Amino acid sequence: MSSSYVGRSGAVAARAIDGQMVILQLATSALFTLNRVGSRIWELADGRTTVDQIARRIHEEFEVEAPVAALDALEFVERLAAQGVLLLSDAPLNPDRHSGGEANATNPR
Amino acid sequence: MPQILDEVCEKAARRRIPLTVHLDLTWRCNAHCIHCYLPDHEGGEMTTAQVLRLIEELAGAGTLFLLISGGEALLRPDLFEILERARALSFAVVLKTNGTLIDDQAAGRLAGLNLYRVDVSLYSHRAEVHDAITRLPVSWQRSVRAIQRLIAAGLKVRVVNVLMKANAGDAAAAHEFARSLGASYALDPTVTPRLDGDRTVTNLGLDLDELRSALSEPFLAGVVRDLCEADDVPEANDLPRAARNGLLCSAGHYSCYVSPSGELFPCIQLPLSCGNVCEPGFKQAWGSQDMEAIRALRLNDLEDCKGCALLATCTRCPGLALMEGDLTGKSTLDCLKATALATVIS
Repeated sequence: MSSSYVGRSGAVAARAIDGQMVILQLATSALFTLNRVGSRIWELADGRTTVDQIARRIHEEFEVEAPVAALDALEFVERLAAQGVLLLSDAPLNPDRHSGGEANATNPR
Repeated sequence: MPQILDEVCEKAARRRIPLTVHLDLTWRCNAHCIHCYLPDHEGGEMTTAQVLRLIEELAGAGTLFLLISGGEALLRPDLFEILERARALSFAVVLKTNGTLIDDQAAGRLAGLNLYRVDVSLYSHRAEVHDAITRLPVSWQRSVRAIQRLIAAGLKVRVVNVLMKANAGDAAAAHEFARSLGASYALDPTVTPRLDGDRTVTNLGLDLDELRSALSEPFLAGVVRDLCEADDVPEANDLPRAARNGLLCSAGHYSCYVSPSGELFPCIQLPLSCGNVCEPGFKQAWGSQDMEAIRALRLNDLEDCKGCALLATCTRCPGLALMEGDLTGKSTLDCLKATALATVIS
């Protein structure tokens, strides 16, 4: 699972609001708000990056110990994948087919 | 409204993030509804490039909910290009339409875009009543067919109805009909004045006794407040209690309206231009002194309302009050609704 590629579902709307990702699952109206680390994972989930690679970035950027980052990233990704918000695949995902768009991750405010 | 959305709204209000933007792409319409609030259906429209630039700017400003409407938005030949860009920018898009121009192909294209919802106006379960309101022959048949097509294509559809003398007796059956089609249902008990201040159309609305009677229909028992107010899209008229904090409504705090020509208003019902989103641009208009003046108003500024016993059921609209002459005065249409709702809920 850790070598799986992670992408964002196209069946969501998402926006960074005051530094925090807010994700709306369009079919169910379920709303998710992510903390700083979760928001960064969302940003990194471009369909071409694996869970392992994401965990490494979290370890580097947030000063989280590598084993902890690996476990936390995997748990987070699996949880959102179970909700249909993130997608996991053995092969890279086509960003045009799965992504909610490039404006997901940034908010210049 | 779910608590998590209340919290997001509260944060957006605090940080002045335009979480919900209502964008009318055109005021042109193929229907001629008797209760329409638009004074005319002409006027300039932003070009495709201007609309696309605007929605890019809105994405950067933090807008999540984008309500695209008109007039009839499907009259814009670039509608799908705009919707595609909006979805690529990850907005939750609600399309408001009369549905009459939605064929199988259009329904399929809309479904492929993963819109959040399509709102379709339907004023009765009876064709003759609906068509007399829209003044467009066979519009009922075409709107109903559109609802069926959209739902079959996998989209969420909400039937939007406005209570008037012409259709008040049909409200329960219209609700049942919407449900039988697989759509959700919203009921607006208020016919609003035209944007130019002409109040003649409000005569089409119900008086207090009629409103009490209509809102007492058994099908509304326990859900009347939800059907008349709440929504999973935070529009100006359903400011969550948690975010209220003495604000008059969400207009200018975390929601706003953009006209087809690009004028930025705090709300469609509050047509005070705060600048044009093309020039000087959305950011400047959103941060303008005119918008700040609207933001500065608080419930405590409302001498006529602040001690009112009906506040708990009131959805006072500052725009409707303004059309009666005073932004901080009474909105008698909301007084009427709050009185009727208080009776029904109690």
